Amino acid sequence: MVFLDNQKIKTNEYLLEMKNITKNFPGVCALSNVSINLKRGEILGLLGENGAGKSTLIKILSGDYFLEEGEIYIEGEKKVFLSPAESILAGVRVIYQELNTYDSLTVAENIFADNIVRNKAGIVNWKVMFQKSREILNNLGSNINPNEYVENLSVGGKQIVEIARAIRQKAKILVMDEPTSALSEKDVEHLYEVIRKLKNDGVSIIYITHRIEEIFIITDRVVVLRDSKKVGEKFTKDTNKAELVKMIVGRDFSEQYKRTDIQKGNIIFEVKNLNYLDKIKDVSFTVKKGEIVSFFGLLGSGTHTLFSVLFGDKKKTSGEIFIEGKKAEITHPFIAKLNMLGYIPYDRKEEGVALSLNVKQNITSTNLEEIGKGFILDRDIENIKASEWVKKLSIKTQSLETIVNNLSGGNQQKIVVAKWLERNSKIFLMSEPTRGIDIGSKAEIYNIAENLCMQGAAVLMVSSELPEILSVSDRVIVMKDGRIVGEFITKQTTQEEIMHCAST
Amino acid sequence: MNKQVIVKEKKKFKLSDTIILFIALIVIVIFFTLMNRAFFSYANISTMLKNMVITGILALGLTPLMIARGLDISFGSSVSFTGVLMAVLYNKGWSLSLCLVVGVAAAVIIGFINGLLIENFDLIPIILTLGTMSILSALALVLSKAFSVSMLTDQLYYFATKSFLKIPISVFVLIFFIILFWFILTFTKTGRVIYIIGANPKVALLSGVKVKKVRILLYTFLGFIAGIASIIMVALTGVGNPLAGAKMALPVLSAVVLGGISLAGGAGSVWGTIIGVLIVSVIFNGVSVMNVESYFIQMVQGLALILIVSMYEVRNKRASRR
Repeated sequence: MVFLDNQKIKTNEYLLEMKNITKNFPGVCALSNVSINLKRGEILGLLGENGAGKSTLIKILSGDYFLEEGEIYIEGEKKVFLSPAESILAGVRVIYQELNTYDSLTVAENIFADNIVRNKAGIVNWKVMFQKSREILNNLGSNINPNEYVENLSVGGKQIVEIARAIRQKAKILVMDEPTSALSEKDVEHLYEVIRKLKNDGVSIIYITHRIEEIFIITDRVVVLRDSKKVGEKFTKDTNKAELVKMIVGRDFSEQYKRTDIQKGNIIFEVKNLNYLDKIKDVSFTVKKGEIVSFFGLLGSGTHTLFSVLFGDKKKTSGEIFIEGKKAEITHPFIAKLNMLGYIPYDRKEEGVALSLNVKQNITSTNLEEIGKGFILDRDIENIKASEWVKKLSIKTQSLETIVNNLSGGNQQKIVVAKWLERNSKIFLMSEPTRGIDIGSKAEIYNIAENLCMQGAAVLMVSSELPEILSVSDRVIVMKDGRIVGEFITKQTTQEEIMHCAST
Repeated sequence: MNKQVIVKEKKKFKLSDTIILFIALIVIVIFFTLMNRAFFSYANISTMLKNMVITGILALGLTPLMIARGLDISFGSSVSFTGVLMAVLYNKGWSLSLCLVVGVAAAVIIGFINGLLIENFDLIPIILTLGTMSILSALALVLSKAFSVSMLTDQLYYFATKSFLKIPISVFVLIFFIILFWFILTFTKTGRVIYIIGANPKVALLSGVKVKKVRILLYTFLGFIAGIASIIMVALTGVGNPLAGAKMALPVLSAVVLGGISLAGGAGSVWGTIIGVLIVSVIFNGVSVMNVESYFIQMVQGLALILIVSMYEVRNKRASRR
């Protein structure tokens, strides 16, 4: 009996317990033995860099990913979620960064989307739906009109509608994924109030954010993930910003990879006052031959957009680009190609390689002009050129005719690089070149970049991994909201300094 | 080891695709021969080949476009319109060669406009060409006052009736285009670019390929092919018929899809298309020879299209599930 009582007290202490959660994807460990718990009415901050495992953890909780190892308890009861619907039924509700509202419907319809109120004849009972919606919104301290169309609301308003829906579904655990990233200051304040109200009503909240300041405003406790592991857990009142940043960025990478000093040449690439809609604002910088310059920024900072504008995939609104001192009007990737630019896109499988084509067809795709004279494709030249790059970059493939889909991520990425080497590019734009590839291939990509620089090329790289930035590049340019907000010589800076610059 | 096995299996699978189609063709031919001996006669086969020419060259013109993930269903009405245009001009006393040049030029311009609008405004090809299709059919009817316009000339009559080595001359036009398209798709840089675009247009664009320009070129070239088809049509029938192309979309698209080109693009070859054209023509001709009412021919064609497309879909789903 005593034992049972103990059990009861223990299970009641936590609303949610996730124990020893491990999740592997082919070739990647996304979560390793992570445990978190959540008390009733508690707000738990979840921190970590991109790829640290936050979203994997949430997707397991929401039923999007199947739980392979570990256990989930809600109110002491063991749960296995086979689908998001089952998770919602158990009282878990995730509000993603990309909001899931039905914009062409009214607020009330959104709140009752999955459970439209009908009368006995099966006809929608608008009155009840309106009244109940108003009630829920009032409780949240919001004066949104339930008859308003959601498309007329601000992002903050849409968020409230989603929260209202979650409340209507009797959510006990609310997960909020970077809820303030797209909000105006006023909306942020309002959101904080709503969250505090929910807390008073006994709703528990997992709050994911990149802005460390928020942790101190809103959370009770904080968990930090890094490289798929839990690296820290603190009561918010017992910690400070510096400590959290240190936990987030973690170990010092710079000792593992030392790059050789490369002689810098003249300026090869210069951007002046570049603008693109409201996404890129007044960006100017220069890059010298032999330099590796990194671009760092949190989600929505515009680093990826900047690269697609530079490569002509998106047309700049204004500004100038100079290549070796000569002005270049890059309006199409074809013109970028003629101007010695090479692009390694962020989304390798959708933008980098053509998965259904073979190795040599991919490698020579940028440079068909030189594969034979005139109109005719010379297969002998193609084979010679392709096999040369396969050998030089040690691309592991069965043959030149192997379909690229059958290669590993690292080898696919090398093929993307080979495409531009074949083209003899001199300015490389690399968007997260080591994303999702194994450590061995990462080092090889770094070496390739270094070799390029030795031969007088320049590398511009977007990376969200600060250790990578510090060990690989000469300079780092920090962006926020489409603007350059800082620039550091990597030898003279720290991860903490860069992170601080990017987040404030 | 494992990888090797996978790669080999895939190759086998692909090879068997064309072979299955070919076997299907032979089975259908045997079936119709057994049903009616007249099917396998010289006279019938010669007629069949003649009728196949127009479907064939249109299907060939559509092949590279669909590999590059474009689509055009207005080619039939383009054939009607240019046929009527040529006949009307000829009756006004224009010289034959000038009529033909103007006709083909009109078809080329139509193709170019289709491509320009689709690519520059990112329109959905099937919707836009549905629009041009109805405009062109209407124009053909207006121009001809809804009657066939006769255009009998010695040269065209000669072209339509004479044979070389017992093969109708128009069939040589088809053979010429088969060789041309096979050559372009297999041996030229343009052919490679078409396949790269088809595999993934975004990757192609980011490799510096002028995706839009290439596609506009392909739409324009299909226009040219429609012009040539229109000339053959006028030569064979002696009239510019405003309804000549109305029923062309079904057999031509069926043939191309049968040949293994999906609407999703990327894959396909000239030989697949040709076998597709043969199957469609054999079914059409075989059913006609059996003295079945002509409505049923269309029904059988429609059924065959649905059957084959579902078979491809089922197979793709199985392959992706693995």
